[in-house]
Amino acid sequence: MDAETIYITLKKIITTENLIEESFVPKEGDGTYKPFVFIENCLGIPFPIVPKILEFLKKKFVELRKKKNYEEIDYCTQCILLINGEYITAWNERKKLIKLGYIKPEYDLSLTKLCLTKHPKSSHLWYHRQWILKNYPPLINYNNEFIIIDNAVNRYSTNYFSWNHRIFLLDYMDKENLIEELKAFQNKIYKHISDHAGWNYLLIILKKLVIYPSSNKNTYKKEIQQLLSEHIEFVKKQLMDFPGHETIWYYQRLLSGFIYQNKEILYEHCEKEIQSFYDKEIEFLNKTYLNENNSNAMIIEEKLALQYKLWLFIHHHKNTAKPNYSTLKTEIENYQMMSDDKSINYLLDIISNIQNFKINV
Amino acid sequence: MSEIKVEQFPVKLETEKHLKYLKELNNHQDELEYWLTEALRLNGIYWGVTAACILKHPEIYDFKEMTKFILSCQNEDGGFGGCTDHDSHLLYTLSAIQVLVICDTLSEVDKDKVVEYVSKLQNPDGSFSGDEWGEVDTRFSYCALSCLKMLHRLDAVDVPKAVEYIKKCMNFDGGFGSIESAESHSGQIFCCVGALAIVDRLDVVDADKLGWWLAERQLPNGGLNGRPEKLEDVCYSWWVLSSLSIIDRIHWINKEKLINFILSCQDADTGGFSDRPGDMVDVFHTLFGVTGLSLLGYPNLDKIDPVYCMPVSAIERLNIKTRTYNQI
Repeated sequence: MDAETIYITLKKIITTENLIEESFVPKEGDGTYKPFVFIENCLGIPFPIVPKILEFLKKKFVELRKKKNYEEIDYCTQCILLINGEYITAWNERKKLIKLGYIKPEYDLSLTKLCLTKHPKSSHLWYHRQWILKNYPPLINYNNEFIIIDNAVNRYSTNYFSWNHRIFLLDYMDKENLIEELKAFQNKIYKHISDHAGWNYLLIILKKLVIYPSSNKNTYKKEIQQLLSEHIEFVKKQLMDFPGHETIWYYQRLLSGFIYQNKEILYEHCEKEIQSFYDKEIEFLNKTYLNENNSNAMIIEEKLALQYKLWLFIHHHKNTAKPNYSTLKTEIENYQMMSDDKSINYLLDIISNIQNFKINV
Repeated sequence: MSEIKVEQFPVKLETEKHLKYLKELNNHQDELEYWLTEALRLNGIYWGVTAACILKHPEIYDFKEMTKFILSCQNEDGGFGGCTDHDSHLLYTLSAIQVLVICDTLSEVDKDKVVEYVSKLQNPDGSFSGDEWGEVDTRFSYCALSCLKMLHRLDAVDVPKAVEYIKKCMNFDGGFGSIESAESHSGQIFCCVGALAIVDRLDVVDADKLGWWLAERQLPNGGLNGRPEKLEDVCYSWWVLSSLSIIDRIHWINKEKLINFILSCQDADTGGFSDRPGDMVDVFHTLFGVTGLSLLGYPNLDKIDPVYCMPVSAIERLNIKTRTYNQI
């Protein structure tokens, strides 16, 4: 079958059918829309035709751009993008047509939604969607966006672009939305336990909340304090419920870094309260993970707890008398001997850098 | 540092096979991958030619032809598209300049137009858009600064502002993300640390903290991942390793184990490297397999500059200070 006929067939599918999903398939179909496979509103693009059709579409696209044939450019770019979501020039051309009024922005929200089922990791594709939402803010519907993000994350977890898209939406939320989102997301973090981006997302919501302008500063401060102390407890619970997850330990570091940086905003009696935060964290580590009598802790957890302990030491250094680095050093060395794991030698380097005043803490 | 020897490892580097693979990349114009990667052809050329240089056989490519093709991708606005008849973007403009530098044919391009294109993309907050449509990403900061440095025209942009923006993208873990608030990611860290090295502002980085995070990327099998709890991947041997090298903490990972992992990702039949053992090879992972080995001091390879990801010899030709850092 020649490329022109394939193009006309694909154009027909786009204009008459309501596509909900697309993917590459190994073999050509022989139904109404051959060589494409079309089942229950899902489009299958057979591998063997891809080189031929993409070569044809590129030539066609170049010609159409010269002639400024907007109607045909609309179809041609859709065909290109269904097959190759990274074809940035085609996305650009569609932005031009949206600006000119030839394409409705709503249409491309549907198109990007469809293309994401095949290309969930295409940064150009995600940006096209963001560009539309930035330029036409009334089109932002959180629920729609969240569904699309969830679908993309399900297709490819730890999807960097989809998480960034979710963070982008936070810019448009008010305080109530943000608090709601924090709580809702805490409730479903178990689905993303090993996805560090999900944890980072929680921190960004907290960040936005802390700097949110408020008319009654004192009441707001209390509200945030309450949220934060619940959140700290929540994270501890996840550590216990999902043992051995590096991501939660990393989040402990991010969260404590955040608390230290914002202590003046977060606490009323800042020095006292930050000391109490520190004491509680250290006590938790010593009791749960770095305790010889507690044989339940896994080796990996001991390692992660030692890392977090050093992290807290460094952050707390400015606040009180110098933490006891020498004891921690012995703890790390004991761990290394016991586990035969030398991979955290760098921690000893960091400690000696601190002890030699090589770094500013 | 002890010298790395070929005999230390159960598998050796299949240099001949890789060169054959790289040489034949352009002969597959009827294949799926060739057309799916058309929009980023200039990146592909840069990956291929740099790998060939590090393997010490740049002559497998015709530099004259290559230059001609690169120049045919330059647009009116001064930027380069990913292929002929594609819109300009910083991602491809950098690759174009890198290839021209490697081919020593930079004199054939209208440099002022390139500088004009790049500098126009800087935003008031110091960040860079990838193209006229405004997507912002620290990758683009790296592209712009690397490009301008190679053209000796850093004066065309506001460098302190550019640094300020990169600083905003630094996270509590010492790493960097693609934009403010985005999660730390090894690829983005390379871009940010590289950009800061280019403008001589590594003071912005907390080397111990960042090095700590980067060192944690090594998994028990020796490979490196790009973010916590993700799988190892050969391309991260580059992103993580070059960053560690720039901040002088390369000794925080186990070199022998990493070399072993990289070598296990070669396809001994077809040549080329894949992300993980047994997967399909591609030119992207082939470059980063080879450059990772070079940075680790594997024998019989040319030196790679960790900041520019280009052969040290090409950077030296530009009279730019090359920091081979602590290559072994």
